[in-house]
Amino acid sequence: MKRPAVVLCLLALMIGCEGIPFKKSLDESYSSVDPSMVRERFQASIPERFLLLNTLVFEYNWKTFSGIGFVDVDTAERTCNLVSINQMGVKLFELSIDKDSINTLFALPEFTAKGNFGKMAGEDIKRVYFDLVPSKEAEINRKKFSVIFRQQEGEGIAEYVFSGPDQYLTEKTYYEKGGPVWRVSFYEYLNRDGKIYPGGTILKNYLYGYRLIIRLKEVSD
Amino acid sequence: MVKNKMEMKKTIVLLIVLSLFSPAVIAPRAGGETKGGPDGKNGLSAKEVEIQELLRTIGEKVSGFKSLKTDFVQEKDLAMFKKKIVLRGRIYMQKPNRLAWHVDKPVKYSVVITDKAIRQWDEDTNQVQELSLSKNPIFKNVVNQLSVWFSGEYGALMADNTVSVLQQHPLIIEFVPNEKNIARKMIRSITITFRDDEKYLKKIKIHEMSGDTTTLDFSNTLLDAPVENSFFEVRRV
Repeated sequence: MKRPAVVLCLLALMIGCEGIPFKKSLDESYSSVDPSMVRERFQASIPERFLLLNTLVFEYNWKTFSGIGFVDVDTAERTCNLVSINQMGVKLFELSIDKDSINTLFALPEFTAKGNFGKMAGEDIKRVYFDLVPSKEAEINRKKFSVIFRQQEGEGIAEYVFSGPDQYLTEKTYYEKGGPVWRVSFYEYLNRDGKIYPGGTILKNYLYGYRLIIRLKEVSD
Repeated sequence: MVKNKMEMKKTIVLLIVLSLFSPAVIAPRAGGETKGGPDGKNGLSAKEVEIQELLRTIGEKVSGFKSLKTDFVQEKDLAMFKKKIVLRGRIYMQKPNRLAWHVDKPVKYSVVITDKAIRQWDEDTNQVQELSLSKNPIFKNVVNQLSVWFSGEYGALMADNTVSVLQQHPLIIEFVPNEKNIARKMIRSITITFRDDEKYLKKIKIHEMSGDTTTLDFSNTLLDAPVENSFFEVRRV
């Protein structure tokens, strides 16, 4: 009798830990939506160059770590500079990304002790900020409350889900061998001077079992 | 990525000490070079003796309080970015051993350090993490460093820094880590500006080797004002 209760508690705890701290967009019928227009409108709405101040929460193996991120992104040039500091202002790491490389300019030893931290963090940043619009050739699947674009990317398949009344990108998932490798979910879009920014972003890495939660605090030009 | 959070926190706090409060770890030279000839007392040059005396006097003034409340603005000017990161918050200190550091913007975060433990909380995780001081000698060291800085025991700084007086009114002192100082690899210099009455700090500016600069500006500083226990609570609603 006790064992099922313990299992239920553990399950509840696990589900709680995977909670989403952002509002999901409301369901909206997509029966009359033109998928190509969804794609084009979204492309026109997202900024090409931006500087964001975020807070970051990294969850891994039942542990959490939080900090502040400052990121300068140029999606056209595919470049990005990122610095993360702790809440007392101490720099944790600094990365520079361009078309061909990811450079770790600074990182505390704790970040670099195991594995290639710079590459891992850099790839995550690219997943969050780059390649958010499916190609015109993507396969389209219109659902009741969403439109899904699927296309080949690298060795796998990328799936873009547009949903909600604003018809913005709410989820991008990358699959390999039939299973998800990573997923980025976008919430609570804000409009600043005609361009949109997700107020909340969650990256889930299924391969390594971690989650990164990003909260937008400030947008600069 | 962050495999050992405890180790991370240790390093972070240590770095905070090194970068923000650790002029205490550094040793000064006054107005000139601390490598001057031994023409003063205890083998120090006249200039070094003068600076040592100044630090002692300032230390006495700064140490003359039992409690402290101050607002702060921390600006990080990163070499790679055109814009600065600005953090705002409050610091509370109650002698002999309670220090609270609260950040209010852009994120709510609190850390409270006592002689027994360090507790910290942030609004995003909404978790309080507690670390025992007795089981973490490194934190003990941190608290010692903090107490040196905030209590004005500046004489200890002479060993690992070159100290210069940049200005008399208001008093501005520069600490440059010397070759004995482990902070030398990261920190180019730390400049301290005192209030007009020289009873407390007005500004700390840290120039890092990377080209980054961190400035801490203190305002609305009250010495010996009543402090409430709530100032030393980390969790906020």
